Amino acid sequence: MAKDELAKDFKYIGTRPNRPDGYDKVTGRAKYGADVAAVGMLHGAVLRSPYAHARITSINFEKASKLDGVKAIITRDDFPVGIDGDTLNLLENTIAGEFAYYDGHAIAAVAATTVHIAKEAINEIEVEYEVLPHVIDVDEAIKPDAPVIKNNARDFSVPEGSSPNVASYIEFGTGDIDGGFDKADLVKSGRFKTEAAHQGYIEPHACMAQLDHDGQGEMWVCTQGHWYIRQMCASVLGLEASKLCVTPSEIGGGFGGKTTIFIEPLALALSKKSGGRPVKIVMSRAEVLRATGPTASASMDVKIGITKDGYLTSGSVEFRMQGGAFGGSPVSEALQCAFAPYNMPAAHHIGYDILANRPRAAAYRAPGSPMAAFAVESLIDEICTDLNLDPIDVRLKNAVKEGDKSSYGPKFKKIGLIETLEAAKDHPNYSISLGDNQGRGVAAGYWMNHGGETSVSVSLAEDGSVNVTVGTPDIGGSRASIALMTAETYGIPYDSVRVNIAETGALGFNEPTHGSRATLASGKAVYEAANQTISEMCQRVARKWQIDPDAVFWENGYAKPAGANAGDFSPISIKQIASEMDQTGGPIAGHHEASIRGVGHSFGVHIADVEVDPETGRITVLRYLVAQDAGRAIHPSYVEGQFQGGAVQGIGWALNEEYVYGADGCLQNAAFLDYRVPVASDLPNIDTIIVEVPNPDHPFGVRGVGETGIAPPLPALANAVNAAVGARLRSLPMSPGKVLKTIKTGEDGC
Amino acid sequence: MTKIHVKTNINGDKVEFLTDPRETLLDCLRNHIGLTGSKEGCGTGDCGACSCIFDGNLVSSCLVLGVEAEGKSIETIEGMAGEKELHPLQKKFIEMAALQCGFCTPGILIAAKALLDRNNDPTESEVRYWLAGNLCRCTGYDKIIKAVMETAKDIRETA
Amino acid sequence: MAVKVHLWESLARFTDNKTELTIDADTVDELIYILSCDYPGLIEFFKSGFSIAINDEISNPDFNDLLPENAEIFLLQKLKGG
Ligand code: FES
Ligand code: FES
Repeated sequence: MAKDELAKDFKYIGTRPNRPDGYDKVTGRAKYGADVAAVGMLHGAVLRSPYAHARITSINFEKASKLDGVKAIITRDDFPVGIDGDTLNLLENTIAGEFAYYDGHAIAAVAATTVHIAKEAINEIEVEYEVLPHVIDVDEAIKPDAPVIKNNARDFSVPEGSSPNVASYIEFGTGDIDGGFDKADLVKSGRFKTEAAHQGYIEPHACMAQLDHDGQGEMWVCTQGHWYIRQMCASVLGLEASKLCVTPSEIGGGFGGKTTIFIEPLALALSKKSGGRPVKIVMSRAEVLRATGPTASASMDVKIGITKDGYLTSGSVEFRMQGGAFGGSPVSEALQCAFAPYNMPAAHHIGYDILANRPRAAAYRAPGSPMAAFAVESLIDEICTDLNLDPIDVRLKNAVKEGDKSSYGPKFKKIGLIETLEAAKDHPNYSISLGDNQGRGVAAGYWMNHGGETSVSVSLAEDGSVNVTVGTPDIGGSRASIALMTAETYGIPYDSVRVNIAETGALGFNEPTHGSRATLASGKAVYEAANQTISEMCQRVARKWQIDPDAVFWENGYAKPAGANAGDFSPISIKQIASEMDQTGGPIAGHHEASIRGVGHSFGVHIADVEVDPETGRITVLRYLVAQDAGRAIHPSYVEGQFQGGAVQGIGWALNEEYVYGADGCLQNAAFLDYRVPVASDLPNIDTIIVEVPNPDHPFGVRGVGETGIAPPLPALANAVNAAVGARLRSLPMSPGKVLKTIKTGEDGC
Repeated sequence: MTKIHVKTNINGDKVEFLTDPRETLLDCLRNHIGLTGSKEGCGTGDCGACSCIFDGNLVSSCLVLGVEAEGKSIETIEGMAGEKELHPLQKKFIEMAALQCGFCTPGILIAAKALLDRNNDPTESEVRYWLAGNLCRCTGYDKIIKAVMETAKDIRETA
Repeated sequence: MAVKVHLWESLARFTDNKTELTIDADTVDELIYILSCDYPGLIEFFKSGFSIAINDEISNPDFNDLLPENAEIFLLQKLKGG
């Protein structure tokens, strides 16, 4: 990408126009997953396991099927056999086969003429279970004598002799670890634990599906990635992918949790079994919490060496994460993030992905990074306290910069951690004085946003306005940012661009809106596609002027002669070119398909001020600052929104949110009342600093902004609590009882 | 179950519908009347996505039965905008990017309007506590609170 | 083209304990093929999906990519996100 492009002044990028879907979303018109109905539609309901681990010995649905209005009942018998590998895991999680692996695991599903009848029928299905021993805690699950969840669960990576619940193993590192510890003036280690947290999107999963016996089907679904849904549904049902047309609804939050299937194949199978009638399934909140993916819970050992003037000499981590009954915890990502902010001579990483009788973990915003940050950034803070060093200065001394080798191997291109640390340090929040029982915590975080598979198209309307079609659902204003980049590329007003999100048949494969890639990847692809149409327009103008196409260039919405030699022509506007399309060769459209290369390394630094009530252990967040490198903020309001939303999810994870299991292995807090996400009165304003160190791999310098912000709050708050009352919590969440206990006994909760 | 005939008033229009007595007002709005702007995030009164005004009171419509609507007057998000323009809160929410996914937005707008109708000069903490029953998982509330405060200011200045 | 390939330590079980290999390969495809032939234990790893950094550019692999002389290559876990 031309460097001058990155440095130039933008006309639209960086402004804050109203989002194109704003009207729909403030008037209640926008259609989300549960907001549609079809003629002849049936309602689906799902029977779920009441046990954490059980063999299903029989399912009898005779009574249920006799209820008036019941049109179809499905069990695992209605799905293909002979599936293996990852697809088998997907299918097993969609509907149990021989075993129920967690409380809430789907066993059977019903379609009926009303929701009430469907639910009644569910209650009439008789299932016999043989209850098996279960295991919930990650450190229990890795013990050699833990209840075995599955035979042969391990993949190629697991060394012989490992505990049977280890699904995969990873180890990597660089430098002389022991030599590094020898050189250190202080070597400190600790164990840290985090609980599973749910993405907590306010919109429960919902879909409406229709499938005929000839294998043609349609689906309306709230998802971050409808091509993923198509691919997964097709593979577990044995359908041809292109015969299934998946349309994404507006989506009420996802945060990674809506990148996989849960109810979707059930709705398709029910539709097929009921003779092709459309079937709608909407999850309840309890189902969302019991059966969809939270993130992993983690137990982590960290050891860090440092010189007395604050230079890190060596670090090692061992992370154990359970990702539910099918594996898939983000342990490798966590390891990749653990020491990423630091230029360390030696770093070593070991990770275990472990099975437990819990729902299958799904991605959650910067998967793995928050846990890693909690462990590493807490320990670095302990070191700073011991050595009486300023936490930002220590991070500045060790911060990675362009050309440094990352802790996982490749060298960084231009990155903005130092700029971000400096911006945080200069912010007034860092010097406000604190009162009794108040404390300040600092922490850094990281995510490598990636491009991935992307397909977009653009077309010119006859009046010179532009349609852009992308395949990445708009979760948080990406229509606005894509429209801004399009407007910038053409040099036409923002309002002249309309961004549509297309169904699976309209574009090539698109990865979901995940990993902060919508603006990063779709933006880059739209830039390429728009430039295709620009060169087509220049060619048409060259023919009109009868000059060489190279002698025409594009600027601010006009084709212009390139210098005096090209001839004396007056510029022609996009409007005019568009109005003459039909006489100059027909429609003008462009498209771009690619695996977008490169990543956007985005670092963030948070500063949290808290007050701890020593009588009750209650933590109040007084002030909160997010500084993060956005590369380039296309629409700064939505960038701030991502920073703030990520930070508050991290605050919830740090302070309240956790999966509470009973001795029977069943989830005890499957409601928003008990699974306590932050509410408005829990929080102060979230101050933000957008740092802009442009990403050299993106035409406009975008890095992707959504992920990083959730990582630093976990350690920043723990560090602030320690600063306030001298209580070091090494286990999350920092609920009042736990805080009080640590204040009183000094135990860290691990 | 035998359905019950309910006559009510929604956003100023006379409406009649048949409901199974087990159905909530939210179910009726969404499934019988076609007003899907009110959302179900929990069904247990914890998230506020279903907020409506019920005879002048702010309620979670998932906790009201459909049959209770008989003879009442109900305001939903679909009735919030004027014929010519959006309600000032709706406008401000768009301008200040106080929504991301937008799923909580109808409920938050209804609840915020109920506050400003009562008190057009709330403190920030009053706004935060008033909206404590409305969950938003995307925004961290910052821009929502600021948009409500700004709208209140505009309302006071034009009053 | 001789290129230098870096592997995680946990893969060294399959590569006679080597984490750095010098391989003669012109394309990513050829590289994966040669590694799979020399070290069949890696086949499962390649099948499980991976990302690749060629001279510090991290991407999902394009098997037809030409490898520059002396390229430094890291094999990484597949990039994902939330
Ligand atoms: S749906 Fe009524 S409060 Fe959540
Ligand atoms: S904007 Fe998504 S829940 Fe509030």
